[in-house]
Amino acid sequence: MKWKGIGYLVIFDVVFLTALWLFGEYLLEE
Amino acid sequence: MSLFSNTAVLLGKELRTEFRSRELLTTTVVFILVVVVLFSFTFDASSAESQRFAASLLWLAFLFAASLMLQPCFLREQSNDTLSALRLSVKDPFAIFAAKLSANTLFLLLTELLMLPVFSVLFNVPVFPVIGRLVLVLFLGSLGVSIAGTALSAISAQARMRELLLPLLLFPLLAPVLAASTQVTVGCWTLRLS
Repeated sequence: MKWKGIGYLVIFDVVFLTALWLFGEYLLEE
Repeated sequence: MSLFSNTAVLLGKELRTEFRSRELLTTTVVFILVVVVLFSFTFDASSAESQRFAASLLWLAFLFAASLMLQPCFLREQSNDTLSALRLSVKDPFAIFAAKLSANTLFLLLTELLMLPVFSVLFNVPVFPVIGRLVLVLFLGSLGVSIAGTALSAISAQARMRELLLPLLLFPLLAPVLAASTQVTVGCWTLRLS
C-alpha cells in the first residue's frame, strides 16, 4: 500500500471540496 | 432545513431519477465493458506486462466512464429550468453540489465494483484478496473525479460547446488523481503478487 498516493488523493479531495463549498454559489449563476 | 437534510432530500431525488430510467448506469456499464474488453485484446493475460499496465488501463476506463456519466449531471436541470427551482428551494447552494457529487460518486463506485470481477478475469490480476484496499482507493479516486467533474459540469452546462468542453477541462485537471490512484492500485497488486 502506497500511503503517499493515498495522501495525494485525500489532499486533492479536501482542497477541491473546500473550493466547491466556498465558490460553488458562483458556478450556479446564469 | 440544515445543509445535511437538504442534501439528503436532493440526493434522494437524484437516485430516484436515475433508478427510474437507469439510462446513465446502463450506458456507462456497457461502455466501460466494451473499453475493458478492447484493452484486454492488446495484452496477453498471463504475462507480467499485462499486470504492470492493468492499473493504468483500469483507471483510464474509469475516466472515460466518468466523463460520460458527469455530462448530463447539470444538463438535466437545463431543459425545464429546474436549476432555478432547486436554487430557490435550498438555503445553501452547496447542498445542490453535495447531492449531485454524492450521487455521481455512488454511481461511479457501483460501475467500478461491477467491472472489477470482469477486469480481474481479463487481466489476470488479484482483485478479491486486496478488495479492502482497492475499495479505499476506488472511493478516494471516484470522490476526486466526482468533485472536479461536478464543478466542471456546472460550468460547462451553460456553455455553447458543452459536450466538448467538459472532457477538455476534466482530463488535465484529473491528471494528479489518476496518477495517484494508479500508483496505489499497482501497489495493492504488486504487494499481493510478490
